[in-house]
Amino acid sequence: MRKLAPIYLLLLLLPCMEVAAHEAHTHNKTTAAARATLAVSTLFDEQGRLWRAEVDGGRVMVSRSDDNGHTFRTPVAVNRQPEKVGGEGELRPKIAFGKNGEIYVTWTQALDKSYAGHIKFSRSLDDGKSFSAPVIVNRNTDPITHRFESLAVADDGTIYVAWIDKRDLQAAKAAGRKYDGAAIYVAVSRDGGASFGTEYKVADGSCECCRIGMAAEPGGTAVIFWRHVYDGSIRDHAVARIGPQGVLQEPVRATFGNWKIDACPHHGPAIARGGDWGWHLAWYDGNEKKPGLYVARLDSEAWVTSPARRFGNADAQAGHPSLFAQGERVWLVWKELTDTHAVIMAMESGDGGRSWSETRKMAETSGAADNPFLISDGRQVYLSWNTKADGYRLIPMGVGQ
Amino acid sequence: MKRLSLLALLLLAQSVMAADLKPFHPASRTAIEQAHAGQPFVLAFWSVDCAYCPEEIRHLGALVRKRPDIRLVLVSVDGMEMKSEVGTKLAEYLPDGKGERWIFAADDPDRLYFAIDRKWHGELPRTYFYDGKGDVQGRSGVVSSTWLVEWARSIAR
Repeated sequence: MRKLAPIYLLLLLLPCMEVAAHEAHTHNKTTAAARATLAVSTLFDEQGRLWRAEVDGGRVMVSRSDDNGHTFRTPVAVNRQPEKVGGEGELRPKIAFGKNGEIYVTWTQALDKSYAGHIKFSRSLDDGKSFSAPVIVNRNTDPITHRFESLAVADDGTIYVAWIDKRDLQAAKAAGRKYDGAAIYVAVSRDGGASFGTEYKVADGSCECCRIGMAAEPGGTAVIFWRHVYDGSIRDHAVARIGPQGVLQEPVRATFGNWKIDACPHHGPAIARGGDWGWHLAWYDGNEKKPGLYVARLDSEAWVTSPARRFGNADAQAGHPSLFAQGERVWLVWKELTDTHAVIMAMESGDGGRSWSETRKMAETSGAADNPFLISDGRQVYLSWNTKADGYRLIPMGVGQ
Repeated sequence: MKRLSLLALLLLAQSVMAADLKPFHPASRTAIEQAHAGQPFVLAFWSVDCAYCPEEIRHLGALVRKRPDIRLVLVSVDGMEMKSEVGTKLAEYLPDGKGERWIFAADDPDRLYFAIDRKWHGELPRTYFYDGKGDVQGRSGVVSSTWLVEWARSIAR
């Protein structure tokens, strides 16, 4: 399982994406199921089988492919009772594996009240044949924001679930205090998902509607990377290290674009572990001078970010990056639009993200398309991309190492 | 009884509003611009899921109440299946029914963003201010009332 570590990292990437803000916020059960969504999460297990989590009819469905995504088995419903499952843009169900073949699934259940939700968790102990009754992970269960969850499993089996939470905003409002943004909360399971024994806050003042980047690291800890609200509504990113009991490295500012805006960017960051030296980070910054996507290295000793490098075509709506690293090789993909197509662009680095190749087009589709993700079966790195016109696509990025 | 009928009226008003939402397609921005050519107007994109949008819409509602010469066009980026929520929210934010009301109607919202403005990455609120003489300013995020007052002042009645 250890050699699959990069996959864990990726999990985190798998986040909830963008959004045009259209989480399914329907108001009653009859419409709960309505809308088909392209938002999926995929991941290889240690046997090289590809698993996919998607939303269908108010249910999270999990299915498996033994032929690299050409065909999937009949999906299994995770939640038997249909509910409003966040499945668009930056919101999507996540999937991850435990040390002993457990399958973990998380998602955000949207409540009737605006912006409100619960973080749900379920697991399978029988290789995906059946799933446990879903539990609400967030301990505060008021009908307020608990949304945009991310999921990561460390090499020792520790499960981390992170999300955006407005309980502190509610408390501040009740007390007549000012409070900017939301908070980042984490729940930890050390018993393979049987329970979440620990819940703690990582930071006050996060952005309200962007996916959270989170990746496990060797030793059972994880690093979390999210869009924050700095003084004066500056929407830059923070990074922190978390452990089973709480925050190990207090939040540090990791990006410095100074995008000042009272808005929901609906555009969260990506993170991948580069090695013992630190992390690769990618994010969107809408600052007026040089808006666009950026990538940088984060030194995890000094907690200092290298100068950010801009990439992608900002006039083609370049967005929603995904990162993957194996040793010194790093892959980066993102989505752009042309007059006729959605395209996935890519670039690579052979020296740990110090220098990057020219960009190249990996894939295109003529209709609606999900955001791109990078995953690996331990040998190859693949672009995982769901499209309306061309179906689900798994495209090799090149042989690793 | 009075209360009941008031409630019924409100419910009716909301469903009428929901039904009144015009479908927004890739060519709709151009159509809106042509329909309002030569007059000042504000084209505002929002969603029920955007925590900053209620404030923006209320600001804009106050503006057009004060300045009836400025038109307001509101476009929800929520999909058609959100019609009733969108109608309910608008009734709450703009109870006097101000503004022309549209809703995204395409299965590919990314395509709509692209058609509307290539430089717009989907952040909300996103608002375009047309002075009626050919100048248009796009702004992301809640526009401050100071800026709004200045902009309105720059437009002769």
